[in-house]
Amino acid sequence: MSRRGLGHGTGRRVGRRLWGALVALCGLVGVAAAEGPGAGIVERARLEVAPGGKAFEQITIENPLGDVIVEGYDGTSILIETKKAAPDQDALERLRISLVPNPDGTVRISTTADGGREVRPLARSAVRIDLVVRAPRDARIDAAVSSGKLEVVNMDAGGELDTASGPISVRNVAGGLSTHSVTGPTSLAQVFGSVDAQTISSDLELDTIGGERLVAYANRGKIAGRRVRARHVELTTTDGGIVLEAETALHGRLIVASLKGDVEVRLRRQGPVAIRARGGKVDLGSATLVAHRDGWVHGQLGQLLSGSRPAVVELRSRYGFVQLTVVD
Amino acid sequence: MTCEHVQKRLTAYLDGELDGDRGSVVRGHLRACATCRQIASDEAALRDGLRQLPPVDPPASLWAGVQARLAEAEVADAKRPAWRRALARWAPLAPRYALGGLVAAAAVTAIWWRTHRDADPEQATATPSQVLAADTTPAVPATALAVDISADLAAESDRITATYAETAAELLALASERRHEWAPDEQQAFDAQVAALRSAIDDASAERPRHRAWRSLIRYLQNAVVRDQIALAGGAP
Amino acid sequence: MSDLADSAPALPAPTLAEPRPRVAAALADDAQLIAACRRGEARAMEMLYHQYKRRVFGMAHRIVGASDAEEVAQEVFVRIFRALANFRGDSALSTWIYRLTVNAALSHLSKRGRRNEVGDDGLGDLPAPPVAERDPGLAARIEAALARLPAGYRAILVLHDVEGLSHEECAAILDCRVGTCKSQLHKARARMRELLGPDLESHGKDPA
Repeated sequence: MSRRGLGHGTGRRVGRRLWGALVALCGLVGVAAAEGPGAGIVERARLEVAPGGKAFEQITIENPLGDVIVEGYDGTSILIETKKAAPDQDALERLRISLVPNPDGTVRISTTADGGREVRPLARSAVRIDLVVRAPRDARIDAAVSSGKLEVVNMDAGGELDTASGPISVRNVAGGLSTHSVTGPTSLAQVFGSVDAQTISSDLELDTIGGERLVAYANRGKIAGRRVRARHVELTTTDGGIVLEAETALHGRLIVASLKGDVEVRLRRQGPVAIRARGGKVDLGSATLVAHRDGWVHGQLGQLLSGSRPAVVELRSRYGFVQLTVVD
Repeated sequence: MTCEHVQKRLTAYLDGELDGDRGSVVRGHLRACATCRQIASDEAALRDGLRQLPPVDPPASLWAGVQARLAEAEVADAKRPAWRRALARWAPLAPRYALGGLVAAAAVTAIWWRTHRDADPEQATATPSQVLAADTTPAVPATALAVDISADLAAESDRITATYAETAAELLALASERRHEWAPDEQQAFDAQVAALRSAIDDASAERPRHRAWRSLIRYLQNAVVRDQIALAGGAP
Repeated sequence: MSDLADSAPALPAPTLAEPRPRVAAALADDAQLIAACRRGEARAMEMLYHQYKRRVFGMAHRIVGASDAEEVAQEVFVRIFRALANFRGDSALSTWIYRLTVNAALSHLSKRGRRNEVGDDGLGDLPAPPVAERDPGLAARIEAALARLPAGYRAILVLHDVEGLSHEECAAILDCRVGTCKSQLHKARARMRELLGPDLESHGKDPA
């Protein structure tokens, strides 16, 4: 079995000095094994990266060749498990994982495929690199993936997550979180902190979100929210329904809007709420109807006395129906 | 309606449970009575304060302690004679507590034993090597396609940009349908914003800022088309 | 591959190749996690722990006070993992876990022998509370006032107002009727208002 280290991308020589000064390498094991005739080659490696002086503050991961899973844990080192799969040895050698720590406490992990020397091209679908990263809980995660899955669990410093078509899955994360995907379904659960989520053509699922702000955009896709308790909530879709179960906060704002989709909101309120809604058909449930004005249906929950600042709820759909149900 | 009467009903009122007459009676009283109004607002502030209490993080030692106790319990399990294990399977449920009196029942110690867990020390922690070895590698066909992987990776950014551009174009088309509903100054503001966002895309020097700028444009267009919101809202994409 | 087993500290079982289906309902996700925990998968158990640790520890902390919170939370998690085999899924996992937590906390209090009425437990023990987003002072005062409530009031207030559960969910967790929950909640809030007094400083800005 040959030993393989992690390949450093070209032009990273300057990083080596920093590497020596800042990072204590604690164990590097790699194994290449053939797994049966015609099945290709899989190589696994494991790396532990301990911090130099400073604790790791941010981990940036770019892996267009497969999955990225990040899990927080209570240690200070970053533990990385890598798996490369390729049809043959030559192809495997083209797959590179690079790891560059910076003096400011950030670490960058990225994967790529080197230019090939032989005539026969190597298909992207023939290779994979998957990464599982156990990270100190307080590190911010900045990760980008292409069609693989991107999963982040148990992290406390938020981050930015980006995929092209791969699914994004977040669970139990605190801190400011920003996610975007073109066609990857996005599922955020148990997030405490401001959230900004955007997709172009996929669905968004939100479950148990607390914090100051929740802003979500889906162009062609549905938004489903459950136990949403952020103070300012804005959900917008062009083509796709929105179903939301939320709790208003004192002086909060809840704006749910779709062009073509239906808007269904189940609301648990705190304090007085001023509502306005418009749509193909509007049903405000048990809310007190106050007026019809400029195409809007105005309603309220609770007592709005002069000088008070109620929570504001705005529901709209141009072509779909709008339904509000007040729940306890 | 006396203050005492109203105060008793305040919680229900704030929860929206007093309908019709009963609600309007409370409302009427609140309008007139500063004291009760103060109480109502205190309660609203209290509830909001409770809602905002931040989560409490346990110390790292908690998980270690849990694992240690579970390990101990497993060792103890393995040592118990079989008949005791069988008996424990039918141990009663933990006693339940009534809220009102908070009467202390006997200390809760009834613990369920796993019936199918014969002591198997390996089972508790599957080592990574075992799991890695166990997983099935997806079939990696060595097909020769026309596009080499390097070229494919390089083209990825452009493919994403193309999707963004297509989406923006669709939204612009929708916006032009809505345009006539906006006031002239709104139409001007809209055009100016779109122009500004487009030049931000052109000015972007690297892939990530460019993609970010596209997403900003798409957001803005969605706001205009779906919410008639022409003024630029804050917030990063 | 035998050298892998000995060379590095115990790492979690990664799931690199296994495709994870995207599950819509929270209950289905829970079912997978529970099944994995029952099989003794360390990673799943750790995930469950992290998912619920704040809720369990938070409730324990607010009911029994800082000094005993860790002990109670530890007890709860041990019970969770031991009893998972018999969790039938007739309630949501979170409801079940909340119930275990409340029971353990209240039972701990009575075992400890303190009176459940106005007690001074926790007041001296309160650590510097975490800073709230909007008004750090108010959060601290609320935590202090909570500690002075009778334990039962604390439980219902934390479940409904802090954790955000519905009256029905609270009733299921506390094993009482919805009406009882509501009236207990009302009394608990009234008590809190008394304890906080002028601290609420709302000055009639947000009337109902």
